[in-house]
Amino acid sequence: MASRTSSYKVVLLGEGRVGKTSLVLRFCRDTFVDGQPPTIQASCLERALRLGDKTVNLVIWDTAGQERFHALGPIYYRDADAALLVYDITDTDSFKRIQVWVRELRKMVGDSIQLSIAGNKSDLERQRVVSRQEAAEYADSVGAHYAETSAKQNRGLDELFSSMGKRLLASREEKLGSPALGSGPASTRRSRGAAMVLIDDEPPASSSSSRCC
Amino acid sequence: MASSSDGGTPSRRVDPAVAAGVEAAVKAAQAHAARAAARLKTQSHCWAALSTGDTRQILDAVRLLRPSAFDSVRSFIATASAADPRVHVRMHSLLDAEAEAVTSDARQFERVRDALEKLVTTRLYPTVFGLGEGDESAETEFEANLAIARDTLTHDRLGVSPVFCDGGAWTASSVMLHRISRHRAPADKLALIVNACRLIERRLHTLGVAEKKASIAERKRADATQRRQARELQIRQVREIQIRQGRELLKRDDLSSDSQRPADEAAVHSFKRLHVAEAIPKASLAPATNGASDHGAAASEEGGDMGSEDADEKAGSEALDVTIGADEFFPVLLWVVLHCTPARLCSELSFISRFRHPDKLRGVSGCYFTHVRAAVKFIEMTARVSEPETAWPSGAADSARSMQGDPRLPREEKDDDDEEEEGQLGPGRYASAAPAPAQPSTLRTTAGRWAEWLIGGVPAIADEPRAPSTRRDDDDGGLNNELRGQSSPRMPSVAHGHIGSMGGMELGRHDSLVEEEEVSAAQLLGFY
Repeated sequence: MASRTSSYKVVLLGEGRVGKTSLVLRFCRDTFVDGQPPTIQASCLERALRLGDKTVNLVIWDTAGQERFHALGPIYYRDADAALLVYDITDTDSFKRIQVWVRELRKMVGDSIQLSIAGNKSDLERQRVVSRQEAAEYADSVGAHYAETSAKQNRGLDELFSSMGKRLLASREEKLGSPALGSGPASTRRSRGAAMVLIDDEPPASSSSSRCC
Repeated sequence: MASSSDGGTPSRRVDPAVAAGVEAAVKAAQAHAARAAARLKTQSHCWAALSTGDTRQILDAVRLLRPSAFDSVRSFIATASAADPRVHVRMHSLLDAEAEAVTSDARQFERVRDALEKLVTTRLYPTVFGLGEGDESAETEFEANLAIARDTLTHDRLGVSPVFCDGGAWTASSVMLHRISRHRAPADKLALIVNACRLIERRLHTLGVAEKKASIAERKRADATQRRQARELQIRQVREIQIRQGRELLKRDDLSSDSQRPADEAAVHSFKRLHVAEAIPKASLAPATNGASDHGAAASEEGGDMGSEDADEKAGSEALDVTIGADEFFPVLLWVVLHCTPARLCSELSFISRFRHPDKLRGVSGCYFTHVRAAVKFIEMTARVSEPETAWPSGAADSARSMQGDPRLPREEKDDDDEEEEGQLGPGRYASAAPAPAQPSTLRTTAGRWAEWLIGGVPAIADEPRAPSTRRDDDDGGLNNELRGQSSPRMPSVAHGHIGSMGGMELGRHDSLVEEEEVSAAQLLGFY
């Protein structure tokens, strides 16, 4: 049992039309064996990522990006391990929206969540309005990882997700205490238990939201 | 010889005893070996069973491998009550511990835990369902909210395509959602939610592709007309030039003698022919007029044609790549929840969120589950915002109507029938939750045996006739009938039409998941 699989919940946030669905779809679909029917179900996707001797399973939860559904965010990112915030480099508003989300995430979930910011549509360099430097500085200031991607040309995706996977692994190891690592299923189980307690231990948030929704 | 025979006789006389002893010893050894083999076989059988997805087999195996697990499960069920707000937490930690004691393999662990969860939740269902903290009030509140939200959230406001709403594309999903209340185990309920969502996604995808195809065809047609017009224009221009040239030639012809300009002979000839052919359709004229130039034009046009068709095809395959993400999916799900709300949806969701293992709610199925929860939350929020401004009477009237169990929205017959279904299911749910009333006898007998088994009477691993297979058929048949609206009296003929248009493949593919789950649910219902 040299390798073990751990599953992580990644919430996908971003305005409509920034191409977040295509981004994730491209990332998840590329690993599929040829001849398999293409994925249609894109609102929830799963992909296993191989990092060294470990396999990281990312479950990516897409969210509706329309303005009016913004308030539903907390239901989705409540116990997420990571959030992927996507904006469009040709659209300033979408970048501003990301900043709102980051503030909200930090306020509601705290520092336990790993943030990644993706500037999508990097193939449209000519129409760029959000500079790379500005975005990178912002990402640094909030402790997020920043990458420019192009879902259309399949650029920057692997780097984005593998960095996310690495940071997720590192943070979980930190949380669990690294000695538990080598012991195979037992450690998986411990992590399971930990995840469970984590959820049960926040009745104020859950009871209000789980009452009727 | 005699001595030998004498000696032989006693020895022969002893022989039977020895033989009997030997025989007994051999028999004992054989029996021992058989027992050992049987035990070994059972053990390996158990381990094999743990790797199957069959709840019943897994539970049988667990019973053999760890009999004490059932004692603790039984005592937990006996002591559990809805008054305890942490009953589900206790249940999950108990099941985790028991499953861990049974197996150390991560996969088997999950299966064992799921099987035990199914067992316990099926048992606990009447005790705890809808009785959680605030379940009741949430339910009545939601009913009222629903009525308000229905007025506010129209399909054009949500951005749901009318083709989807009116075409009955959501009927199959709504059937799935209505079936939630027929199952007791949260895993089964969750599977139905996932299936309903996937059907919506699939349907949206199909519609999206169809729309794209239609728009591409439209564009192609427009392009073709444009090309034809351009071609006609070109032909007309060529003809005009030729006519002009011909007139000039004729003028010159009149002035000078014929022999002087033999080179123009051909041009004159062609011009005359042109005039004769005036009545002939323009397109057929083209080749007759000017060979060289027209041929070139035709060739270039053809080339253009081919090029654009290639491009079209390319664009087509790319454009047909419709992605349905949450941006498209969620509003539609919201609309579906709004218009075919299953009975006691809030209690169902709260039950699933408490009694399905939290790890499972972090995976893909949890994601769909969260979408449904978000939809309910959004309905609540919409109602809260629009409550003061929407005319109260209409909201009140609507809620009163829905309280009476009347059709909520008479937009389609389907809706009414769904309500009927709801009504039938609603009150009698606790008393008789057997999924198909057609085969009560099999269910009853198995019920008896399973009840005995749980209490500890009969060793259930014995070769009981494999009832699941027959039940699987029945259940499957029930599902299919229901979905195709053929023999189930509950399904209206309208829905039959709609579902027929859904395309068998997509239904069949997604049913498989539910079907499996349902079989085990039916087994577990035997405990009552």
